[in-house]
Amino acid sequence: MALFLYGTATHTGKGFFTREDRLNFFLRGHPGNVWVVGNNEKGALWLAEKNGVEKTKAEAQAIVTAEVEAAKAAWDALSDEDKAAHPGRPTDITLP
Amino acid sequence: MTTYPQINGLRVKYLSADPANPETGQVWYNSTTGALRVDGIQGTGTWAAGGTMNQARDQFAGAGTKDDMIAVGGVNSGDKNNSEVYNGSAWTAVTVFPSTVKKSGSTGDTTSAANFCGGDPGAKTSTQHWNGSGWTAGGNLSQGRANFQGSGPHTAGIALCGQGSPTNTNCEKYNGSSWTSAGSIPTAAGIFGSICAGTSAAAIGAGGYYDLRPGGSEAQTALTFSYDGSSWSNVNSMNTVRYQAMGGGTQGSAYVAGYASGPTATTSEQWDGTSWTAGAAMAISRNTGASAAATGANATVAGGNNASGTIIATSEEYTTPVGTQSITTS
Repeated sequence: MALFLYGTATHTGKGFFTREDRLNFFLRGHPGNVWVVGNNEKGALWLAEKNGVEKTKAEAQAIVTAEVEAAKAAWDALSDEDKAAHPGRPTDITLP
Repeated sequence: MTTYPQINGLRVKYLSADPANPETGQVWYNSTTGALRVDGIQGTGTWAAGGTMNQARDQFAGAGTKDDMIAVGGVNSGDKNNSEVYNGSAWTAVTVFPSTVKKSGSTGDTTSAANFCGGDPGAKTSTQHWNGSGWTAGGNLSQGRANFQGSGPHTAGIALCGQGSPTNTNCEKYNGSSWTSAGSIPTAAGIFGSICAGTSAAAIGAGGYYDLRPGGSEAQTALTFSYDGSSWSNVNSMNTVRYQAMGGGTQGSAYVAGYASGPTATTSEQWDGTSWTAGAAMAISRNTGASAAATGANATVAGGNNASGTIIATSEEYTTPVGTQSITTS
């Protein structure tokens, strides 16, 4: 069985993921509203309750990569002064 | 053999049920369950979703505590003067800061009395007091500072280093009306982008960029410094170098989260007054956000940049439950 579920869901603020959720399953948010969720019953239920759209790992990775590439392009277009004000050029993200 | 009454001055109460409102450190025997019980044991800290700010922003400052926070200024398509307060559930826009500002410092342990000082553009020296409804001018920093953190209550705050000309090694403390010297960190060069926790009488600073220019370069650092009210000394470093992370608390209980050696990170560390240990991971990577925390056990982080560099408005709350547990042998 795969270790993780992948999906997109819109962050709705307070209560979107709770202390109990964090104790019950792995959860990481990524650019593009992509969520990597521990593949257990509670993790799957969380994604469903958040009106999440389940994705394959490849689909989720493609969304994240597109976001990062767009962010890189935006960063490259910054002036040197603006670049200095930001922490650094976005780097590639590989989903687990 | 030392007995509990000798240590505590009281005998262990023999109760048929756990008391309704035990005090931290209280010990009793539950005759129903046959367990020796104690209250005040810290559980596992975790990060959960907090309210979403009305204005997504990075490079801004926050003051207060986990459920009573104010956020000011920052950047999102230009410098901002927006101010918002958080009540533990939702953010509400309040009177805007008197000017646009980014990378400012802050002190104040409540949203009814906080100070925001320094910041860019121009490594400002000015301070503005927040009284819960409006802004008034406070005392000026003696050094221009930007990209730094402050900590402590309204009348006992401290500001750690920060960018100036050159980057500051010196620090300042605030009594609610004027800033005075709080000594210098024991390094050859200044640091900016660090976290700061504690008060003008007892504080720590950690991480940031160690600025060796001119003649050298900038380097992210894990260095940690402790302040005893008169001077700074080196103490145990963080386990990971961190720059523009979020952090806060006290000299004896602090936390730092985000921005490790990559552009963003979910990782956090906890400071117990002696050393840093790995803490729970946030759900979303972020840096250059703002934080409010009374101790390292309970905190809110808000805004900042996510892993793709997008400026975000979401927040996360770190909560460490305190409860009753049975005393067992192992």
